[in-house]
Amino acid sequence: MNILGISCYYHDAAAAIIVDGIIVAAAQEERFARMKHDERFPVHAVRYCLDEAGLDINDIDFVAFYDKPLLKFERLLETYYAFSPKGWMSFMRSMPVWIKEKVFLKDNVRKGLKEVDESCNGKQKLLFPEHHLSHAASAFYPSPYDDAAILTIDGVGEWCTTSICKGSGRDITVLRELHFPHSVGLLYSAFTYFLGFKVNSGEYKLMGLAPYGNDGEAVERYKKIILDHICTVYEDGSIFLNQDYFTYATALRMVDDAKWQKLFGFPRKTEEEPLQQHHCDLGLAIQQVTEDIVMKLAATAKKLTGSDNLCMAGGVALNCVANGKLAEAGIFKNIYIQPAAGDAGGAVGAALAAYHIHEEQPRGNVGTDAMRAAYLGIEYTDKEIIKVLNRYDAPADHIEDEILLADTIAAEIAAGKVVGWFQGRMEFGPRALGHRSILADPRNPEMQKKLNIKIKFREGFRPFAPLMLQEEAERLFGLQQPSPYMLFVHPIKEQYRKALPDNYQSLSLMEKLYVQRSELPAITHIDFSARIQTVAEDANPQVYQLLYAFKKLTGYGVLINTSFNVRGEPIVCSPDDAYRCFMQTDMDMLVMGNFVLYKEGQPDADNKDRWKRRFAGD
Amino acid sequence: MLIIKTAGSAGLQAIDLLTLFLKRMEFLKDLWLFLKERKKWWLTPIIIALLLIAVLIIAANTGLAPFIYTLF
Repeated sequence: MNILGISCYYHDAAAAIIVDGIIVAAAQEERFARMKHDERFPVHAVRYCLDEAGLDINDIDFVAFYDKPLLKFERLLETYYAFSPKGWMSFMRSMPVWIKEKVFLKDNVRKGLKEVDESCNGKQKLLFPEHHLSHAASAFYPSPYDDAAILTIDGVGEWCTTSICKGSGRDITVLRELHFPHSVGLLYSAFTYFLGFKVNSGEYKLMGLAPYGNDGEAVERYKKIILDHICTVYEDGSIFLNQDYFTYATALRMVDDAKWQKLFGFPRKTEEEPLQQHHCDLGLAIQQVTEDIVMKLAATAKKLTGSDNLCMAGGVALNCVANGKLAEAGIFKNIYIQPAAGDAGGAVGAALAAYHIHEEQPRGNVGTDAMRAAYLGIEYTDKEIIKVLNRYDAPADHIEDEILLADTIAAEIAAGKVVGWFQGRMEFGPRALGHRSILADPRNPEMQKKLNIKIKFREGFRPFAPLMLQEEAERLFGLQQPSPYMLFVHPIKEQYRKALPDNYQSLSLMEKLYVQRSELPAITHIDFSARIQTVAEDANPQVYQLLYAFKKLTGYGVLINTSFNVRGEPIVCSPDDAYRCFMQTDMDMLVMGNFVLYKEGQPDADNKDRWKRRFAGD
Repeated sequence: MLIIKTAGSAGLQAIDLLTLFLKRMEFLKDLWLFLKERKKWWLTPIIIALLLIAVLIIAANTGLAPFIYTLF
């Protein structure tokens, strides 16, 4: 049985193919279309998935779309009705799109399939599992557990914004739901907006900013304001958002700027405005409130299900700081988070829900992780890489022996080189997990600055995450469980920390950033934490070998791992994208398969503008 | 959206109309099932009004315009 899962039309369009219950391929449209968060029907991603599975479009039995459009339409109409006459302008703007396109989703999906392949006969049965059921399915079915509590938290699906379910065998039972407009995701997005970042893409920047807050009087005051005026948090983790302060239900803005300014004592930060301490303090306050809500929700999920296992999905499940604290709290013995926890993962979930719930098929993967380290995307052959090298007359060394390749690259990284690393199948989900990554030496105190400013062209405060051998995660961070998806933040052990200067609290944000906090300064965030990815030999032998070689040389089996892209660009997909990204930045080397390219010697190496592509800001 | 294709000056082709009719029928069936399941009957007039507006707006740009205007 072949099932195509699709998520699109809102943000992060993606496609996935399930063949007899096995996830064969999954990819996001943005990678092919080269437009971040591309929401259009995922024509390229579907074509790739079909190719990977060796199927024709007419071999597909079911197409599962990740939400129910009519239920969403109902929510919109009821919301406009409830808030009327407020929201009239928004209503006039959104209705034409809905009555022209979105309510006729079946037609649009069929048209999309026809665009994928003209020969599509239209006989594929269309299914529409609910948005949060798709999230729940994306977390539970690929997990190794036979029974689990499932927690999904995001902005909003149809009505549901948070759900607690129980997964057992092939069944998912919904136990609790929190409905719009009360939403943990939208609460976090509201602060993302107020602190000058883009909603739907800047949330992780807010998470990275939060540790710069001074945990003290100011943060406590902001938390009190949030809890007294904006958000009531109940014991079971459900929340009530005071709509007097929000505008997302009736406008295209998140909050009432004037009311928030009055409440917090400073105006909404613009994108260009430099970050100040009060921005960081407010960031920390909302991060702590969110962590508290997630913790309470998890406790409720535990109480309701009695399970030792927790599965999570939805955009808020990408808040790895909250995830780290949840893991530390020990409410559940085991936690599995869908690596594509956002809407892209809905494509996988919708397809799995169709297979296990609609078609009542049993699960076959219990005990294993069916996401297979998220390496579910496109792979390029040596021939295709050579074609690109020839196109650009790019000189490259070919190192056939894997161990020699690892030793060579490890030595270059240890000598301070920054390496673009392009290998194997592309990752599914927002993180680069060692197949489309930029790698560098975490011991180098200048590396964070260099990577942020000269290579990624992004904000200097942004932290970098490490990938490491499992034994290093245990040695340096005390982490016992594998963390293959970079979804948990953990503090580095005391003995690897460096003492902070006495005047630390009074330093400016950028001064704090460049205080060395550990022996691995480039991956130790300001609060001594790191977003860890552990690498298993069987899942990623090349990176494992590289880490092993780096450990032999330096004593640390740890590397900086950041996504292979520049600010605003989707992570590179093809060898062509990789080469262009390499040439427009100060990256020193590029490794594609077994081909090694050095910046010096590349044609037109000094002319970065030649290679630049324009991307919208993120 | 009611897409009305014109075949040059010959106007609407029967096959297009039939396809359109079947597609809209499928949507109306889905809508009926949805309202029945959700028991939100009070939404029916709003949805029908919105759909009629859509049909009128789109049809106004097609060869049907003269007939619509005479109706009102």
